Amino acid sequence: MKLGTGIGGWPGAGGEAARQAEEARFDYVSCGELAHDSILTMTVAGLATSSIELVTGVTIAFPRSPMVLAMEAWDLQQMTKGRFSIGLGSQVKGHNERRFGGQRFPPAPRMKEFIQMMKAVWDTWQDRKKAEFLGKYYRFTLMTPNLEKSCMRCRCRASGRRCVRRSRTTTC
Amino acid sequence: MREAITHDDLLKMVEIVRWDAFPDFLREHREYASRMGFAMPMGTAAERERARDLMTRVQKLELPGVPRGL
Repeated sequence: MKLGTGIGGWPGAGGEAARQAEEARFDYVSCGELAHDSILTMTVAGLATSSIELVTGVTIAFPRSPMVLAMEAWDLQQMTKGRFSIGLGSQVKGHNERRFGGQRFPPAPRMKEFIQMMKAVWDTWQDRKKAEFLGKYYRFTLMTPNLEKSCMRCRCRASGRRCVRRSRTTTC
Repeated sequence: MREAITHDDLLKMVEIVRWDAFPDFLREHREYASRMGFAMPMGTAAERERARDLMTRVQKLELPGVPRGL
């Protein structure tokens, strides 16, 4: 059983909080995404630590581009030498539409495509697969050269039974 | 809310376990879990030592990771 602790709140304090968690021998630290950006918090935490796992719980997916998030997660994974796992969440309709100014529905098939496209981006970078993902909600057909390799894990969390079920069948 | 969900209703859902019995509780009732958030007082040296001991015991648990019966 792996034990973790939260380091939410101001990202500037995330480094020290993660360092203390590592010193206390927790297996991982996690952070949500309410008033602050989860990727930024994990970047700060990653820079301050050397062995503890870093897990977002969760990063809100739909206000972001899958390509941009795949790139951020890739860089963070490289920087932390494989300690990072990204958790994705859909958030609810009101937040997506009235707070983030985007769209959410239909969340389950959209989340499935979001994850598929992130994996397709990583496959392009890791295995030089063809830069192509043609979905209903997301697509990409162009990629700049990137020959680095790393192992990326994608963990997805979502609200709603259909969304979770689809996410589970899609994650690596 | 208190009228809709009474104190007695809450008591039916609450699961109580002492810290010292926590690993056994997880083994019996959280066999599907592989990760969990954990927090207990660590303000004093004695509290940190107790927390460290408990964390070690929990981290050594090997659970099936799926609900019992599946």
